[in-house]
Amino acid sequence: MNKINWKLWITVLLLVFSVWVLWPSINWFMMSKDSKEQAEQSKDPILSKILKLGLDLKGGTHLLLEVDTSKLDENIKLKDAVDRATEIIRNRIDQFGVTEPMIAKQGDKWIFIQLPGIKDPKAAKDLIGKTALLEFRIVNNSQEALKALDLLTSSGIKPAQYRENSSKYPEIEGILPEGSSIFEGKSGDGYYVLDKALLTGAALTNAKVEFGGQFGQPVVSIEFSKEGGRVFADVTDRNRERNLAIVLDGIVQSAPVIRNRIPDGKAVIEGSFNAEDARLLATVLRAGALPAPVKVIEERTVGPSLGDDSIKKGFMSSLVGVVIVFVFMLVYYKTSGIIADIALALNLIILMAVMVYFRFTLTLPGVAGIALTLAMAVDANVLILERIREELATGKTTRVAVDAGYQKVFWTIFDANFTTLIAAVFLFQFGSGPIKGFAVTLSIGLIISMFTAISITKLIYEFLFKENFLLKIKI
Amino acid sequence: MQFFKSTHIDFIGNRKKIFLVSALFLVITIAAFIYRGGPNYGIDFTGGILMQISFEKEITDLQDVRNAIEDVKITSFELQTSENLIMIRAKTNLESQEEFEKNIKESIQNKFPNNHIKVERIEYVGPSVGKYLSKQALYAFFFAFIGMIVYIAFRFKSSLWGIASVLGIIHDVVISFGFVILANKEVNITVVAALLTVAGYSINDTIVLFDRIKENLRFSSKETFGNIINKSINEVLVRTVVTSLTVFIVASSLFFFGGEVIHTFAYIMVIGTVLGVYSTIFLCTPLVYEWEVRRNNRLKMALKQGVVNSKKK
Repeated sequence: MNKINWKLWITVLLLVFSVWVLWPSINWFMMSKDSKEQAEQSKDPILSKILKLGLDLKGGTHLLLEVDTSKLDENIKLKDAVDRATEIIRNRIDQFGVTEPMIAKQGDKWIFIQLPGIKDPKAAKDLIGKTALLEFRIVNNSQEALKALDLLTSSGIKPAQYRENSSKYPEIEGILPEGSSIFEGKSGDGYYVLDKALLTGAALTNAKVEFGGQFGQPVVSIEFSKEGGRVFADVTDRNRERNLAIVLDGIVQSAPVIRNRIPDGKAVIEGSFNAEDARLLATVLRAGALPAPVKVIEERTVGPSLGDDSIKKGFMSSLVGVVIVFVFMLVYYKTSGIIADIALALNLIILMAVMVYFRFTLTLPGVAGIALTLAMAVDANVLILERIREELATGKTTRVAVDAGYQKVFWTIFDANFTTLIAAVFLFQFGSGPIKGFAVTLSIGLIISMFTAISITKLIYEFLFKENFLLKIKI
Repeated sequence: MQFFKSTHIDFIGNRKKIFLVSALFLVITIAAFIYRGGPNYGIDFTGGILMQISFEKEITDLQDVRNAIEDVKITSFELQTSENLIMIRAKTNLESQEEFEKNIKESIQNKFPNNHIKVERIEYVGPSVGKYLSKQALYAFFFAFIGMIVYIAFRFKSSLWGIASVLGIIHDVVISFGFVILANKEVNITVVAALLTVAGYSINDTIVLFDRIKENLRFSSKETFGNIINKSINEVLVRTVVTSLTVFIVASSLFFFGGEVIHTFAYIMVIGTVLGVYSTIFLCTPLVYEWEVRRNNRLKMALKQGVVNSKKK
């Protein structure tokens, strides 16, 4: 085994490996729309082996949320709150059924969410944004409470306004019993004065939709943890014939009368919700309450048909450009042009294989990045070939001229690619979403093109010289 | 095939005339800036919302759409259409994004009851994110420039060459930006990426020529510096033309067939390719020439004086 053979084998091996990595993506590309949807529903393992497309190509929603720190409990650290919110949102999304979502903390108080291929962004946003603070409070019907309610209604203050800043209304706060506050009923059926929370949603172990209401309407049945169940039994025991209000995000859902002690830690939330509302509520209750409200501060949603259109256009335009370049190289440099074209094709195949293997995301600017990489790879070959021409012009033999050509321009190509790589790295560091995709394809492409445009073309020449296929080079 | 054999163009001798071209470009950039009243920053940087809505059937009267949006008390917005797609852009800082979406959608649907509409794309950028993205873009440029200067200074063992090439990049990026303003294209994150790519391409080209000059300096010490530079430019001229042509082909293809998002990107690339080559030959290299010649002259003067001084003794 000599040196050339050894290099040749590695190249062939790399090519085989690339094709193997790309095979599922090619299959996927050939599949009909229906079978694609079917595969997505059944979470087919092929999904983790195909080229990952960005939201701008696949369609989907990108969200950036900000945790509202002003509403945060003073005892909770900001970092813990954001971590917990991220975790809860992750759980909620998992239950919503999105293929390959991405949820991550960004900076101090931002949460970054990507939901590829989502059909109903509005519902997802509702689900994510719900604070879902569930509380159980006893309704206070004392004289003081009624007086406070009268005061509140006569001065036209909303319960939410009062709770927001209760010290602003000392005349009401003064009358109210310690720890109690004023809440609004669902669909405006009056205000309630409620004692302090006895239990919260944190004590739940399960929540599910049932159709057990009086008229068969959907209700959410909940189950407490062992500890929560004990507290619940105790509360129901001590407050018989009083009303227990179930409060979700500051709104009283229902306030049934407690008839008996409930020992098994089970309860039902009745409210005037439809099946979809109930399902959403059960989902957020299961996942837990957000430690503080979150706000959408950035959204980018692309519909699937627009994504398809972008794929077609991005693909077509790159293809046209690349084909023209291929033909140009062929015409301008003849045999050497073919060799350069082979290197270009390999560059493209390996680049795509790397994208698939490392699960990088291809975005629309990423497609432009690939096109640009190929242009740079062509530059490397042009540099080499022009140099070989110059060397030939000084009367050197073909083999010597080729060797000299490669040797003399290596550092030029390296420097040129490396400085562009510097720009790409910072673009990756500071860019977002689609632009990151551009930086990724550009960086990978540059590194691979160093290999294909220099090593592989050189290898082909060496191989041809060795086998005496090529005695006089045609440039 | 070969476009041309060897050339003998005197680039250095004509450098001052060509500096005028750069001056002209800069004047165009400044004029564009004044004429357009500054860059047209997109919602990425200003904050705001963009909605793209598709209609089932083609819309005949755009004024109806305009009225529908104005009906929901939105006064400052831009409206663009192509076939059955409309794009609404509002740069106001919106506190309640969802309400805006809902209102617009309902209002338009009411105006066109028999023409089903679908929201194809929403981009909402809150004010804090706009500031964040602007900062990130500036960082990207700053660190990329520093990185390039350091690397070139290291490779050419002279900060002078590094500074000259980065001046070339700044020249290219500024003028490309000028052309963006001139065409009244929206400045968004994609434009930033395109400008950084122009920077990358520009330095690539400069390095190729600088490398050749360095090489020729090593082997032909008897020639004057100006002649060596001229020889080097002529030697790499074919490569420069061929490479620029291929990049130009790819960028043009993206420009014409790539669709809306890539369009602006390709526009900047097409201009940047031409500028990148231009600045290398007509700006960076003459700058190095001027600088080195002046330094040499000073050196000679100093030597002469040294000789005179020693004779006096």
